[in-house]
Formats: sequence, structure tokens, C-alpha cells
Amino acid sequence: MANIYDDVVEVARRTMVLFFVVDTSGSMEGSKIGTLNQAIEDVIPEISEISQSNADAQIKIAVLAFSNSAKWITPKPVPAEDFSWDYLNASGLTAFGDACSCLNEKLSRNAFMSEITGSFAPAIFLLSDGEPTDEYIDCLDDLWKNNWFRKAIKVAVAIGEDANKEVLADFTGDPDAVLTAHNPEVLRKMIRFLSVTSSQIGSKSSSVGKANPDAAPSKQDDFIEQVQIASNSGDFAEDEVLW
Amino acid sequence: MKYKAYNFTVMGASHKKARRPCQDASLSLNKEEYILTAVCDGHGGEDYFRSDKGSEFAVKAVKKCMNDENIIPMLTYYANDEIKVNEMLLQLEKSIISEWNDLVESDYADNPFTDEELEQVNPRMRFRYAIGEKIECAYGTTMLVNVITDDFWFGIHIGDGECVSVDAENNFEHPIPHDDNCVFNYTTSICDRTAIYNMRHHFSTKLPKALFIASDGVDNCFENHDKLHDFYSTVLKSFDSYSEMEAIIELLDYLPKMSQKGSGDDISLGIILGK
Repeated sequence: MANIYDDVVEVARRTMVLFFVVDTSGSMEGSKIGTLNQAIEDVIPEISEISQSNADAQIKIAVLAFSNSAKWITPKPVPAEDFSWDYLNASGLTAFGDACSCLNEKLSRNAFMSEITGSFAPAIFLLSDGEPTDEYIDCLDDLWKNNWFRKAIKVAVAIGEDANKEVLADFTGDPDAVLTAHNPEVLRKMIRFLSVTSSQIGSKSSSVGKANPDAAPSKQDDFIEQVQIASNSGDFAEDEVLW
Repeated sequence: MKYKAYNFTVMGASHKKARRPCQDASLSLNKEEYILTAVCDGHGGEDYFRSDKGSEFAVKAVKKCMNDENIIPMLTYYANDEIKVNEMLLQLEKSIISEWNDLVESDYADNPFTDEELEQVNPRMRFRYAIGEKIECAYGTTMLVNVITDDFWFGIHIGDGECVSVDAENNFEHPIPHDDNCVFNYTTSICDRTAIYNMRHHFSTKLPKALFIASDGVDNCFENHDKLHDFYSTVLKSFDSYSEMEAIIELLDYLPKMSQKGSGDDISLGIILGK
């Protein structure tokens, strides 16, 4: 006998969106973009597994690439289990301000965050090797006024020494949420660790008493703590500097 | 009594897959003096590794305080005095929090945290737990309670989840205001030191046709409130159309599927239906 609820009730699942914001300017050409492409492709099955076994949220992935301008690679967030990474090519300038504006536009209930009343705050992962070439300050200020962004887990990887780490710290809101990768092996490790950890922390329920100064740490605090533990234990130690 | 209470708790699909315990607990009481449902949802993060016990303790605390306090006759007497009603509900909330903390302390005294339990906790909390600080956080849980008599009903709530009332014309309402501290994946909790300030309640002498309370594992299965109400309408239809036993079996059969398709979380539901 068919259950009375099967045909009548429309069930949906809570979501957490993991954003990859990727610098695809000309300076990324070669081993930087190649390593990045391979590393993200490799970590997707792991994120998919977290999504399927997670008690609290399905993980979706959105990708924003920026060079001469910013462009969404995913027209909307894609469930991790259905997501496949399209290799990105590198050329052009570093329109970081445009990337901030595009992110701001989609971090809204009217855009990427429209699903399910109780969606989780997103995790945003920025990868860049350079210096913004556009007027980015106002765009970044506007982005910081966005509640979704403010509540998000934010992390950045500076690829090589030429990356402007101050800008990346302004983006994450915390210098401790900016890591530097000097060679492909470390970049690979960082992408895997940061993607998996931000997905795990971002997609779980937790308790917080806002009025309680002793409350459990925020997800961003939790995340940074995990990053520091990994860094201090030598997980990202670099034998050689290539970039 | 003109009402009957039911409670349902099913393990979340993802909990089952990850071999984690069900962290929800629920209760229904059909007493001569009142009808009660309670739903408690233990937190899911690593720091809250005894939240399955915490939700059980919250249910026990509700049951004990409703037995101990002389609240039903008092509320019946003062039903039209809003200030007195609020004072009495506040006192009940304080008693529940206090009783919950006693149960937690007693459990911790009998079973201190093990190294295995502390291994999974984030370092900041591990240090605090290890020196016996904030141990109640490990048991953190939300709590929703509905109580109805022939003269009035009230609901008490801390944290996320939803309380929904249905009137005779099938209008749905969310009578307990939403807690703005419950945003994204954060919820207030009975384990917070400020728990009493985060307790909300609603009292009414207008008797409903039905009352629902649910953990967020239920409301997070639905895109919006309208779709949640569709689900509750189907529950009402099921209890109208089938025998009580058939309706219970239908719902028990469906809730695990709902978790599987929806939130993946543990699901608890407390229902009070007019006879």
C-alpha cells in the first residue's frame, strides 16, 4: 500500500554551499593553475562523501573564476555528488573587485542562497597568486556588509610570494585564515585540507549562546584553529620554494 | 480530556550511515489533568558528544518539573492574568533548566569524560572539559514543550525547531516567536549560561484543533513554512481517515524516508490532536 505521505509531501534538504573563488589571471598559467585544477578535481569525491554522510546538510559547490572580469563557472550551486570540475585556463588581469561584486550579488536569498529556510552559512575558499588590478576596495567593503559573507567560513591561499596577502587577509577578515603555498605539493595539500575541513565544519549544527561570552567558538574560529593545528604539526611544511 | 498526545523520534538517515547515536528525544503524556508533548534535539558537533544524554535529560526534567510544580491549577486560576501567567511559566522554565543541570552534573560525577570522548573535541573545549569547566556544553540540547488542558494551552521553547498550532478552520500559526540567535546552523541551547533569557513561551485560552512541535530535523526537510504545513495537513488527514494505529504506523513508516530525502538529521515530532 502506498504511504499517504509519499505523493503529497514535498521534501527538500538543507544545504551548505562551498564556493571556490579562483584567480585565473595570466600569472597563474602553467604549474599553478595545473596543480589547482588537479587538486580540486581530486578532492571532490571526498566532499561528496561528507555531503552524503553528513547529518545536517547537503554540500553544494559553486565556482567563480576571475581574470579580466569575474565569471561564474557554475550558473547555480551544484550538489557535490553531481559536480565535476571543468579545468580552468589562465590568462589576463586580476579583477578581484569584480569577483567581490559577483560574490556579493549571488550571496542572497534571491540568488544562490534561495533554497531551504534553514540553509547553513557558506564556506568561501579564495585562491590567488597576485595583486588586484581593478578598484576593489569599495567592492570588498560592500561584500563585508553582506550577512551571508560575514557569517561564512572564509579562507584564502596565497599561491607564491607575489600574492598580496594583505588583500587576502582583508577578504577573510583574519590573517590567520590566509596560508601561503610555495610549491605544487603544498598547494595540493592545502586545497584538500581546507576544502574538506571547511565542508566538515560548515555543514554541521552547533550551539552558540550569543549573549554568552563563554559560548562555544564560532565556525570560523573552529576552522582557524584546525588550520593552525595542521600548520603547527608540519602538514604544510615546504622543502623547496618553486613559486 | 478532549486531546491526545503522540510522540515520534526516528534516527536520522545520516546518523545511521555514520554510526552516530540518535541525539533526539521525545515524550508524550496523556494525564487526567493535562496532555503534554516534549521534543529535544541534542547538538550535532563534536563538542557536544553527550548530547544524546542531554536530550534525554531534558525530557526527564520536563516530566519531573510538571509533576513537582503545582502549575496546572495555578495557571487555571490565573489564566486571565498575563503577568501572573508569565511569572509562572518563567518559574517552570527555571525549574526545568535547574533540573537538567542537576541531571548533567550527576551523570558527569558518575561518568567523567573519557580520553576517547575528549579526543574528538576541538582543542579549546577539550582543555576546558579536561579541567571540569563548562561540562554541561557536552550535553547541549534544544527543547520544545506543549501542554494543553480543557481550559488553556502553553508552549515553551529554547533553540531551533518549530511549534505550530492549527485552529478549527485549519489555519496554521507559529505562536512562539522565532529566536533571532538561531541563524544558519547555530542554535541557542539549554546548556547556555544565559538559557533562561533565551527561553520563549506562549500561553492561550483559545484551544486549537492540533498542536505540533518538531526538532529542526523536520522543518529543515521543507523549503518553507507552507510546505511544512502541507506535511502537517497530511498528518491530520491521516488521523482523520485511518484508525489511530494505522495512522501511527503510516507516520512511523514515513519519517525515516523523510529524513533520508530531506535533512538527513534525527527527526522528532510531538503531536497533540483534538479527539
